[in-house]
Amino acid sequence: MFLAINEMLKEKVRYTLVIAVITLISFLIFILSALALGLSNENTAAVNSWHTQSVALNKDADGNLSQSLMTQSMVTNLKKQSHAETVGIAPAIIKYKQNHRDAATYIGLDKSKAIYQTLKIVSGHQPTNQDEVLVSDKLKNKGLSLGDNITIGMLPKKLVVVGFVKQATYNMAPIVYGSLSNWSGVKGVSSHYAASGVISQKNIAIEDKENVSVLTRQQLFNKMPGYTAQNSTFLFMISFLIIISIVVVAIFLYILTIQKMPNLAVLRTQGIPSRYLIVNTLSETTIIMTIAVSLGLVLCAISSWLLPVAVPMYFDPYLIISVAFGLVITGIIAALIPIRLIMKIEPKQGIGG
Amino acid sequence: MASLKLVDVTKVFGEGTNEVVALNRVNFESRQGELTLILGPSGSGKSTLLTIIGGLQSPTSGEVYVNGQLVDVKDVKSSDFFRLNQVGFVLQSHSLVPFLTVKKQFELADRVKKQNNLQTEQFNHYLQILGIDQLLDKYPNQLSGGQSQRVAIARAIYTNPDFILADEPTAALDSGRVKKVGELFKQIATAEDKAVVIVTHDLRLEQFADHVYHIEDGAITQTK
Repeated sequence: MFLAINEMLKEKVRYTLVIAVITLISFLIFILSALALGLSNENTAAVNSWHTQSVALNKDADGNLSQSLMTQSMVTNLKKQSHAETVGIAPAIIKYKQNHRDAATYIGLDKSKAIYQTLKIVSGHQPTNQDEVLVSDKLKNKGLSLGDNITIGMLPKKLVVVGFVKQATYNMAPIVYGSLSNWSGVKGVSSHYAASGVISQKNIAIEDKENVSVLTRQQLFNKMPGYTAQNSTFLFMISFLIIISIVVVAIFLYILTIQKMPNLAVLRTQGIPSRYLIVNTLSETTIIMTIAVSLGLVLCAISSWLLPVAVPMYFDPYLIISVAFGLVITGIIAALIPIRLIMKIEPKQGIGG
Repeated sequence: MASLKLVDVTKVFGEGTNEVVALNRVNFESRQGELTLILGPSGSGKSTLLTIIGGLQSPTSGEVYVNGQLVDVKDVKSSDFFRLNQVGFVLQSHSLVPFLTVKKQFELADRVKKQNNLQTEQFNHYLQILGIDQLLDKYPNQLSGGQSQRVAIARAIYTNPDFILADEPTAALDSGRVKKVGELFKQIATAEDKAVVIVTHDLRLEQFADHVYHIEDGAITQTK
């Protein structure tokens, strides 16, 4: 540590540049992680907020809940399980304040069931009749206000916004929560269909195995259009950046160590053990990585504050801490190359010819 | 009584047609309280001899004894321990850590070798003799060649070793400083009871030596 700190204090410009490069890489990793999580959250926030464990839907929908249509007879047996509740999902366009149009997802719920009761209302109140709806607070940012009338999908009547809800997005679109009785109207299907699917916070048992399939929450997400491709892309980008950061740190440490080799050889000549020099290199790496990653976090925090609300970034403390910790570990792995150089120093190299 | 003894030491580099005999049946001894000078031109085997005396490499044949004990240089840990605790090196170049001030060069020694380093008062006395007591906050790149060499000498003395091995310690010094350094090494040998070995081609140091060896083409002869 002693050598590391003194070297960094003496060679301020050199180490500032090294730290700056690693800061930018870590900043990019944090931003991409937050963006990946934010986008993923736009798909899954609502289903997660319902604490969904399993979903039953029409087998022909191939796991896509918004495309699933279940008849009254299909849901009757499922509804006998007290924890199961029917939900109607319909992607639709909402129109409000004359010319405002936005893509949204109408979700019709049974008001007596758990999901409806657990919605997190940030302003307004619970609907008191089937013509009142709660909408995602994302639509509030687009100009929708409490008391506004909206038309949605194929529903011939207007609905009144009485509240805004947090964490209300499904497959990237803001949600309009309303009565299940209006769902078929919004979707434009006959009242022969009772719902899109049945959702439960427990495992759903099915008897009608021919027409109904049951998915776990993760399986449901994986079947969402674009969800897996999007997450895989981000995972690839983040993994690649982490590999780049290992290479960059390794190159920096390699060059810094090569430059110091004559001095390190003299220290070995003087009997200073390799272990001391290795610990010093590891300390140097840890200090560089800790400072760079911390600055990356600060930059990320500033960016999240400056970026428009429309950019879907989500900062999960556990994820951020894990990524930060992972980056420091990455740097220490990269230090293995200079450590190998130090281990190979012959003490006699310190004696000039 | 601290002593260094080489018996019939031969060092050969390479094989076959590339074989070079760097040292040829060298016998050498340095004792506590004495300054021994090894004189020789470039390529004569001086540095090879120094590395063997200093426990930095083993001879091809022959034995090295330190305080009467046969030395095994291949044991890295004990070799490191020997050099850290019993040898003070004064090297030609790069002997100071470039990013440490003069004061911190000694602090580094304190951190690695925690015991038996010189006491402050005694060390300050040497700093004054060497004329570097005002340079403690300077970095090596702020020192002249002569000042760097004197700091390297102070660094070697600081760990209070039994043996001081110096490789061309006066290479960058003028005649006045050579005299001072020669006297200092002599003083270290006699007053501090150290075995001092200087490898050099600087004949100006001969007057301070108790024993003088000449080395040429790997063969050594004692002339004083």
